[in-house]
Amino acid sequence: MAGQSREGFALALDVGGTFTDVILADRRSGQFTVTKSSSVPSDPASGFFGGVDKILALAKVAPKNVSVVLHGSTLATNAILEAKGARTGLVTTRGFRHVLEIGRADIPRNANLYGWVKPKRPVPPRHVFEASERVLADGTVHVALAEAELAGIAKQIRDEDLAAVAIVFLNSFANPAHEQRAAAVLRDLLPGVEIAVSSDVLPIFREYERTLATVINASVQPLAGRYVKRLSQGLDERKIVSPFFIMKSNGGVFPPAEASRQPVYLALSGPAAGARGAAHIGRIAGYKDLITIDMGGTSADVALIRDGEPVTATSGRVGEFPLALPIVDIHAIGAGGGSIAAVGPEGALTVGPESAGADPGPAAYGKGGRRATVTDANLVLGRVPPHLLDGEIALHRVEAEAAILRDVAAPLGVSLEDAARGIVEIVDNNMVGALKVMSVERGLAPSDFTLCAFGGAGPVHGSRLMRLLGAPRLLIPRHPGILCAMGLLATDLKYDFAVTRLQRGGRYDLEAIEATLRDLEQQAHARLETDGVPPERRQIIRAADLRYAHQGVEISVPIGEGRMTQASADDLVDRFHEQHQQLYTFADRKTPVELVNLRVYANGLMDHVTLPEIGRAPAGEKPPASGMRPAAPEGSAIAEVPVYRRERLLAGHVIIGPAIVDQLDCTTVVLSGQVATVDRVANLTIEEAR
Amino acid sequence: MSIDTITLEILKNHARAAAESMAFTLYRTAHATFVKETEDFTTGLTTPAGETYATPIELGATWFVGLNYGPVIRAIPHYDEGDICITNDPYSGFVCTHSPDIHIWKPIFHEGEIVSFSVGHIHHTDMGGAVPASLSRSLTEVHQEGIRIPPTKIMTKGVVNQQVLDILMANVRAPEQSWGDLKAQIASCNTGERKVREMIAKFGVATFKQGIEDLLGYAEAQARAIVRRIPDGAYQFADYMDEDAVDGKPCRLNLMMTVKDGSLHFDFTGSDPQLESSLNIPTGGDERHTLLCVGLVYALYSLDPTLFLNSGIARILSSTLPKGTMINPQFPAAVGMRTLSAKRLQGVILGAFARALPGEMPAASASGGPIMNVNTTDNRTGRRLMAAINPMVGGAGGRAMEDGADGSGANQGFLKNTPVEINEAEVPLRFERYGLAKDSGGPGKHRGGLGTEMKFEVFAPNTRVTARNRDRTVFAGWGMRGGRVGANSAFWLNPGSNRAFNLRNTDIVKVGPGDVVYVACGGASGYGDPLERDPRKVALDVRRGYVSADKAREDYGVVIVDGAVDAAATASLRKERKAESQKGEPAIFDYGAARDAHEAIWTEKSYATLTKLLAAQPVHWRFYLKHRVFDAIAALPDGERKGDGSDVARIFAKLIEEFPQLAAQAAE
Repeated sequence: MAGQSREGFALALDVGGTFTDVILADRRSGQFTVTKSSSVPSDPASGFFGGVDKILALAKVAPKNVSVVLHGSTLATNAILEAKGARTGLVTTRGFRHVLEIGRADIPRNANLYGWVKPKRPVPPRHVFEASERVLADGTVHVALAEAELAGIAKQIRDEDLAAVAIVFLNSFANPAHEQRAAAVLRDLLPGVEIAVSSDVLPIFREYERTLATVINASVQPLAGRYVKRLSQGLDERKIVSPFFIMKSNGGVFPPAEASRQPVYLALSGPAAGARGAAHIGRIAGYKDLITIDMGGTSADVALIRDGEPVTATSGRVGEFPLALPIVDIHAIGAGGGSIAAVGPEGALTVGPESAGADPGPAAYGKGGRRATVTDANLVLGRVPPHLLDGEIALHRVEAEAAILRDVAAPLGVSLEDAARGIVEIVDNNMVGALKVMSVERGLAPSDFTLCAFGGAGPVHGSRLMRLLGAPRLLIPRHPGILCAMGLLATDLKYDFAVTRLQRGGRYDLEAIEATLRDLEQQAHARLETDGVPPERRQIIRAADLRYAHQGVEISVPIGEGRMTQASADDLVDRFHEQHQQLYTFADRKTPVELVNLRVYANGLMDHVTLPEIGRAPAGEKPPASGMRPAAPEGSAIAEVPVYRRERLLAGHVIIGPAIVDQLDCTTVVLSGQVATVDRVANLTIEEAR
Repeated sequence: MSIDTITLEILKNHARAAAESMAFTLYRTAHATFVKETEDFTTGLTTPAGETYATPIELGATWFVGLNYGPVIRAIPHYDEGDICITNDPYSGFVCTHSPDIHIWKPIFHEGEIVSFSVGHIHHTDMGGAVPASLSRSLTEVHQEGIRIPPTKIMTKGVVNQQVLDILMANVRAPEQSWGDLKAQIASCNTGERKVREMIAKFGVATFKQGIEDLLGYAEAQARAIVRRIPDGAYQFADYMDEDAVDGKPCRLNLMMTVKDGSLHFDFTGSDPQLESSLNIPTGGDERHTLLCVGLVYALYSLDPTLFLNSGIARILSSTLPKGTMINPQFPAAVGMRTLSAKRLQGVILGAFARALPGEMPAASASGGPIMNVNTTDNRTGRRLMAAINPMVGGAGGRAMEDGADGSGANQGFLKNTPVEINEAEVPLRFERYGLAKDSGGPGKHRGGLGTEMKFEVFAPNTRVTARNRDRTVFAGWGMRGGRVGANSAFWLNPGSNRAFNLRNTDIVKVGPGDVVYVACGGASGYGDPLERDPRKVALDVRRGYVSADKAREDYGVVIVDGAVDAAATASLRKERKAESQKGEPAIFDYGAARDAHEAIWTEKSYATLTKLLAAQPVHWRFYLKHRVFDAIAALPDGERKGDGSDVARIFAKLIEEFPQLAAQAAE
């Protein structure tokens, strides 16, 4: 597998809604070329190749020298969020046609209870078909599959012109035979129709969540299949013959064939790449425990890195739907540069979650946005320069001031600057709330974590967040705006295998557990074998989801290495108690612990691109300030503050706050009382001065 | 002096996050089925006087925001740091409203002074008493509903008060679960304390103390602004429970809501007398009682979802709660099943708002579905198992602009179902069906949401199926502006077989191997004339199995042939129907046939007369007298009921003759 080679160049493309970030890195030296190209939402593949062609020309690298291509895509995410998947049907067990429609019956807590409109399911009720069959919870067959009925269902699927079909039968996690048989029959009857089977996608109990994952998968399969095929063909045409991998929600990658078969695993890959990038930067900088915040125009995503790896969860949400698949654990809030500040009828100032986004954007963009935003407040306070991208985009101070005066200062009866400070104060506190959810709420002390702030707006707010949170230091990567693309260069193949095997507390059937885990491991090895991962580069981790009897939520706990024994089971339960203690402040050692799911995580380790080192400043040299700017980095009055250019900083340079560091796509604020140092790979590390 | 608005906004977010964090701690650590399955718990932070200034919105019974802990806080003469207090007595301060709810409060000190309390409750699995789970409609005295702990310290200066704990644990049926839940509650209070300390460190104690008062004022101002949208005036609404006791008479809750310049007055005169069942609502006469506030908060929040939820909202409310009625019962009336009557109470408040703002409020949401528990034996192991298998819920009412949500919505929206796969893995049952009940949505231009239904087979003898909060077997909700009521709920044993038996509003039924249980929540009601519903929408409802072709024709005047609308036949059928129906504007409300039939006999005037006569009698006679009057009215030949109150007065006079001691009482 060329993923492990140190030869040639690694090509990473992170396709966002507006721009595609492209990096071409020399895999030996780490030296890299960066560019941005326009995404083409109407034809994502052409946007992808626009980026490929642009960077190869820019770096003057021959296609044959590209030895690995890594890709992050929001294609599946957008298709799910915008309900643009294929016309999809669902075949399910007779008597349970409405499972998808009912969901878990509850409605979002902050919704208007009486005006709530149920989000449209990927499959409408009229495209749900019932088949006679019934498997019980222990896997025994109660009603045999009525295969003859399938022909009638196939006819309806054809008549309705459906492009994809999901097959989800009750209790199929315990016995997938009916599902698999139905799939075989329907494949024969429906050539050209994509089929997804729940026992392949997610063999875990809870029928609604499993159905949802399977129908989402089915609905995106045709689109993902076409896209991946075009990418592979296009790479071939360009004579790029290297391996090609695509980012998944769990922070790893998988090959295109898998992506087209299980595109639901792409659903939350965007934020996962950012966390992966932060983990990579942190490892190189020497910080393995990070809390990261990626603040863009509309939202801020908070993630946790422990021991150099993004923390994952066994479920997340995409749009309004729960997704019970392993994902990088992200807490997202509506706080970004475009978050709108407004004063309500009772005189309260709120910031977000409504956002002006990138278009029309903040008032300062002068693109027709008239409402006051966080970026406008930062501009008024001098915390960001009067232009972006080295002058490519001018920021209009007059527009920003007018918006804040009208929307905030006047209704509150305060000065322009106080209004701007209030906006920053509120959005910072909202973000600290999110940072605490991921740390304090989980029994973790922020003092044990380095805060890593990135995204276009992260570095402006990072230093205040670090102080409010009580983190010991702040890490600002060299290129905060392209950390997702950086993450692609530092990932591994990652697969998750899981199955529900409910066992009551007290005495576990160790033989059965061992057999199930071995079966999952076999699947894992087979998968990595197909990808060409040699045995020494495989990492296989066993885990179990446990809960106290009577509890409704499980905790996933790694299982020690080696064959399952009573000792390792005891150890497992012990660690469950410990984690429960940490997460929820107590453990209940007298209550039986139930085993719910068994998991195997399989990683195929790839070589990660290192970061290039920059020149070192002579000992004691002061960094060159590029000028002064009137600014109020924190609550103080506006005064002249020294401004530095990030590109001119050398390793070992020290900046004493208050100071502002501008770079092409973002600005870092150093507060008074803080000290920023430049490390050998050009990261800024900010700490409180002692 | 108030704190500045920017600081207040930040404090508001911190306070809500603190309450959220308390709820999170509790939810993830509690054992009770009620926490896991129905999130029947609260957490919050109160001022030193007991007013709740912050509650969570993501978890728990989030609408119980009007809680005022003042009465129970004041019941403890002295607090030390590290003290934690509990009570579950519905008659000590009226904070707790039935015995399974253990309420907890912990003083939070700053430099020797109490600056806040962290508070909350969990609905515990069992508090002892006459029946498992301590709840049954058949109970008549609070003493039968389990042990009652008056306000007491469960921890003194950080040390567990073992004697209290031992007494409690000796009296409950699931002591380990209860202790586990109590620990979750204590952990939650401690989280709240930590959060308050963080807020004080951040804002300073002076700002914190003023700020939490300002938060109450903030919510109050918001609530007043919403109510000012309602024209000043009086708005009446009444609704019924099917039964006032097991196999009892219809039970009426009557509200006259008066709106005046952003303030509300709720007058419950005309509601039924105190009941000889556990359906009483223990408000203690507190005119801003939390159970009154739930419906109020629902209504206000649906009119403006930016409303910040805390007990400042309650400040706009005053009430008349006549003593000795079901809405202000006197000790020792049983109150355990007030969940059911409190739900009807919420509906009555929403109905009054609907009368006031018919263009903005929805038709009745689904109701009458139970919380289902099964107590059975695993035939393989011989082990006795108990599980909560599902809360049966239904959809939201139709609205001026659109259909109600199907299968979930409105004020049952916080209930999560239990996956069939979890039920089958945990309890030996086999489900034949779980889905939306066809034709259950009330017809309307905007259809009411469908109810859910469930059917399962039982395998062991002596299996007990509990269906708490069953109702709406007889009476339905209310359709609006030409929309009609949703279907009634249903509870059957072995439906469609020769052993079929209608269980109606039964709470608990004993079944055996081979028995099949069917249960359905009622549907929500419709809004607007069903004859004006887009025929394509009706056809879609038929295709997806939500409406039968028969009902499409009958209710909507839409003729479906081979799955498609027969336009010509539909047009002529609708024309015919329009001609049949009354001319002019339809009434605001349709109450369905059962209620119309009841009110043809029990008119407004008859009820008014009965209310007045009963109010003069001793509390413990009223329920009996009501039943005697109902029986006598029912016995009158159809033609002889005048319905102007004179029938009731005549019958009542006879009863007084029969019991001379009452005449003396009335004269006093």
